[in-house]
Amino acid sequence: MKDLGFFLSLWRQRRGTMVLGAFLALITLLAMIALLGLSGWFIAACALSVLAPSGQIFNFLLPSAGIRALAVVRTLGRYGERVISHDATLRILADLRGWFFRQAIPLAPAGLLVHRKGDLLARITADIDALDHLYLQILVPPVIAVLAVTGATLFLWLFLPAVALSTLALLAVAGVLLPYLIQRAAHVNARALTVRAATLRIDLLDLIEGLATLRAYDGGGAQIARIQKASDALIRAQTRLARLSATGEAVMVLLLGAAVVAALTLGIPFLQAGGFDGASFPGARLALIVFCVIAVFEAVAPLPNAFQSLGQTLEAAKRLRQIAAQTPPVIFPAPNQSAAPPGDMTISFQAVTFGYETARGPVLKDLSLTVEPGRTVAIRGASGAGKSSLLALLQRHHDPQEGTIEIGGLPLNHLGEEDLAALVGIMDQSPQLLSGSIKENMALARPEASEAEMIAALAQAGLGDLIEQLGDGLESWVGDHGLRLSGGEARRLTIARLILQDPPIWLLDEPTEGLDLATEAKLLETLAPLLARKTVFLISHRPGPLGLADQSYHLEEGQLFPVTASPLPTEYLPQDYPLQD
Amino acid sequence: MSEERADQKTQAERQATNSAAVRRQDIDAAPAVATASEEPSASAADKATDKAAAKIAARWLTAQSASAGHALVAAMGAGVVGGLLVIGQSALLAWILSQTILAGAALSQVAWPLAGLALLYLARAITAYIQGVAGFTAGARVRQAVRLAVARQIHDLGPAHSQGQRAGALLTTAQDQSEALEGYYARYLPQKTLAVFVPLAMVAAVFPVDWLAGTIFLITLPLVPLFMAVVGMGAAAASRRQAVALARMSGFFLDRLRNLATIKSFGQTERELAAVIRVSHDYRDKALGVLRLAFLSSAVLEFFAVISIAMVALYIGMSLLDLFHLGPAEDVTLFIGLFVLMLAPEIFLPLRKLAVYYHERATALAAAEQLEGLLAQQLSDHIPPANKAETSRPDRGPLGLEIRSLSKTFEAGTRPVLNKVTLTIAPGEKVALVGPSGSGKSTLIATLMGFAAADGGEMLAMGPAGQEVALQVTHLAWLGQRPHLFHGSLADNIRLGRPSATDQEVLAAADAAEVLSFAEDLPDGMDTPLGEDGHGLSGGEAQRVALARAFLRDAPIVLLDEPTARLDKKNEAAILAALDRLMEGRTVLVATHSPAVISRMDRVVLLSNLSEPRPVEERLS
Repeated sequence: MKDLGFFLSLWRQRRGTMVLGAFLALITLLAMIALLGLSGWFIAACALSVLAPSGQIFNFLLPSAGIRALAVVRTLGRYGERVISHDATLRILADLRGWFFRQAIPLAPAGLLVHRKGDLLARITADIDALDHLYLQILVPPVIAVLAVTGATLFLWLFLPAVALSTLALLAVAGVLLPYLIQRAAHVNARALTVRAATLRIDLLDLIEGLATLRAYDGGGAQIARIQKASDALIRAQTRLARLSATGEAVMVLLLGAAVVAALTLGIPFLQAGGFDGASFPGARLALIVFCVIAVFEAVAPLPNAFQSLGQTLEAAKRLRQIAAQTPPVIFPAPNQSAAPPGDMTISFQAVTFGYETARGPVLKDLSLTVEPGRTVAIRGASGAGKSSLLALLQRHHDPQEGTIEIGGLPLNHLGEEDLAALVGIMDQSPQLLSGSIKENMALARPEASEAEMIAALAQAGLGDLIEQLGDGLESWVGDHGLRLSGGEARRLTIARLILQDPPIWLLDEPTEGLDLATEAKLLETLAPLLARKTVFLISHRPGPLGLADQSYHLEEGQLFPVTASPLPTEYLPQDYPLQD
Repeated sequence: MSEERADQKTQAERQATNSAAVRRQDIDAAPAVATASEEPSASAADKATDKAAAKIAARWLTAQSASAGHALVAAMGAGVVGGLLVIGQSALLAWILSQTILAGAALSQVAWPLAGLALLYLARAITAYIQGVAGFTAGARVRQAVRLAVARQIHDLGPAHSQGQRAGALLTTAQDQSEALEGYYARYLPQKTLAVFVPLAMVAAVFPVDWLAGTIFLITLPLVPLFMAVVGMGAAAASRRQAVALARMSGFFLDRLRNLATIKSFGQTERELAAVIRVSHDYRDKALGVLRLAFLSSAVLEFFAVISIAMVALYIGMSLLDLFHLGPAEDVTLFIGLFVLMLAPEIFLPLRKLAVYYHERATALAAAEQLEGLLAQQLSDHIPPANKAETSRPDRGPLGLEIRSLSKTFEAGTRPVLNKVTLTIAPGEKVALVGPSGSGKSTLIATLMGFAAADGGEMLAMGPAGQEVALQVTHLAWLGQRPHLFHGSLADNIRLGRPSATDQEVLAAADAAEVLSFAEDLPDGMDTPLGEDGHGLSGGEAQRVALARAFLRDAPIVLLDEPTARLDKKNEAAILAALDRLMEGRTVLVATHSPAVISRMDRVVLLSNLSEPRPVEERLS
């Protein structure tokens, strides 16, 4: 609930729209209750007025005008409520994304990777989607239910307090006790449901990712039988929940029936005893009461659902706040307290020891290395040896547990965030492209760059022809929704970005991984002259990129060992043969 | 690729595409790592295929309802009975009211009808329960049937199909998209029937008592779907556009979040934060425009429901007052009036519920497109020759391997990966297969294993006396590049090599594969759980587990695909020691880059598709 309060205060600017939306929903609901009640009363009154002794004149114009007015209010109210409440939801949606993105900035990337299991980003977006519906599906229904029920109870009280009380009691059961009991019973099952869905997922994943093994050892039939078992178990858990929610619906019908029967049982003797004293058509009041009782149940109908979503949404709210409240893995000095960026690009690691908290031990142990400006250093090593950790430390995604890293004699943690970003450029193992136009991707490197500068950088990266061929030129869309760039082209685009940004230090993480040899050779041809004036850290296990290095090191057991010659008896292998680590 | 079509890709697909670059390295021998950047952008044609795809998906959904069996009928039946009960209930309630209001009946005089009313509510509660549970069962049966069909299909299509980038998408299809069918069968489909039958039954009940009121309903009722269709057609197109806009907005947010490290590396966080907020607000503007139109259809539904209540109330009232004389107006009584008024909102209820469930259909259709697409894939191309063959096996003892002009092309029109490869390996001979990345080494091993079907050629096992039989999976023990550890204990993982093996045999295999040496350090030894939720093993340790499976298999021919790639020195040494034991007395074909492995072989063979295809027999040592 604390988390709920947090998000509500986050949306306080939207209070006006939110209140208006709820108000219109309330009007719409009350209009329906009034319409049915008035119609019932009107019909009964008409029937009674014919029988009544002459002299009692029934003014039918007023109620019939009321009926027409309520019909209009209901229709317009419904439309207005839909539009306004969705407007509020959409504003909330924008606020929520802005808020989370702002919180995520200091955490990325290390702080967003802590949870190793599952796709954290997918879960975050699912949680945010869940919170999008907080207002419309969870907040509004109970609020208007309480108001409408209160209003209806007071109204019934005017005519027959006993029926007001019996109806209120049954509404409370339907709107509060029933959802609560169902929720509590479901909670026991919800856990089983999560576990069984996870088991099924694992069994399916084993089938998909282990298919080669299963096929090699005839294990497919057994694995499919396992999947069937897991799926059966999941469905059994879901069945219990389905029964529970069907029971909820059935009990809701029973409660409505009980309310109607109670109203009649209390109302009929009251009417016989000469109740509704002084009313023009006492009998019509009974019709009014019964129709009101039936209609007011519409107010509590959405509550079980809202209750059910409430639990999930609270969980989502809690998770998002937890992620957002993490301490950033590194804290940069404020812009006014940071040191001036150095002019000397000598990079030195001094007795650096570093490990991830979750890992078994340190990845880098007492590692020292100095790279002179303008030199290209290559790092090789088995997967998991810590090559990428070295680059992550240079970008300050993490701080080492021991030792220091300096650029031009200045410790990395004295540098401001933007200054460090301007010094160090990275070319990732998999090209990281924003889904957007080529221009947007280039602007990331330098927003103020002119189109001519962008085109020049693209041409230098070897993409000049491609850009000319594309109908939309710089506006062509790349990334998820766009043009499928080949592996080589995507890498060239990241190179073009680096050319435009022009940082003095370049970090290349397996820059040609996954490319065929011909593509690799062409890419290296482009890269070689660009690296000449830069200080470069290069990770690769392929001979091509390693050829660019002035000095190579082998990383094993957290230590760097200079590589002097290729350990391979190359004479027995063809010239284009890749090197083994 | 046109933007519109790309936008409709599912999240999983987008993620899969995004990680494609990372995964590509996994598919060593697949030049299918598409380098095509020119995709024809014919958006009109795309739209036509979209429509055709939607039609196929809808037909597929209908066909699947067969799996639901009687449950679907039970759900519909319970709903119809519930509707009939509402009619009886309204009549009884109207009668009680008119008796007490007009005739001054006392409670004791209406005690029986009142008890009957209570019973009708009870009966309605029971039908509501049955409808809910039967609907769920229908959905569950379909989901279960579809999920198993998908699992079998994934299995039959083989590893070549589920490799790399497709893995994530396949998992989504098998789990999430089969789950997404639930609402369609559980709620939408029964309600579609109810929305026709229940209102008609109610109108039919009104007609005999007052045909004019019945006519009012009969006119307003079809007008609802009609007007909804008119407004809805615009709204459907609009809501599709809105779904696209929503996907784009969510996609943008996810994309920027995913690329936050890159954005930070360029120091552009403030700029992209502003962009995220701007895109979200742009979406709001667009979505609201669309929603205003879409909400018209719910307003129309509301309007007709409300207007028919108002018209009925006024008509009845005027008739009772003797101010209205048309048709049956003379005969209107309070009972008739109350009965008709009570049914008025109920007549529109099934339609309103259908409108609420309509999105279930859209969800199911989207899932159906993926499911149908996967299930409709032709298997014939993928059945490996090894499975077609008879299961006879020459006597125990060494078997040789005979490959004759084996060819494999991944995508029509591209260069073949294997071009008439011919290779003979004598029983007990050990051969290293070398060649640059992408030359087809892994493809050759995968084809021999039956993971991918060959386009032509023969694969035979050869007995010591030269007798030939079709190569079968039972002849082969295999070790891949990236061993998969299954959810289960370490022992279970090894036992996969031969499920009938005794504990002793499993232990022996573990010992031979150097698994015991690290298993002793695990919390529960050989019973330590592994896999997704279990204990993590290093790449080298996992490779030793896979090797233990091969030991347990005890097959005459051993196929190894880069068994020592990406290992540190310690693990490489352990694997090499174990390999020496495994290769003893067996026929071996190993794809490798490693000099240490090559030096253990009798012969080295070069496979290359970079130059003109050379006969594989070229000897290098």
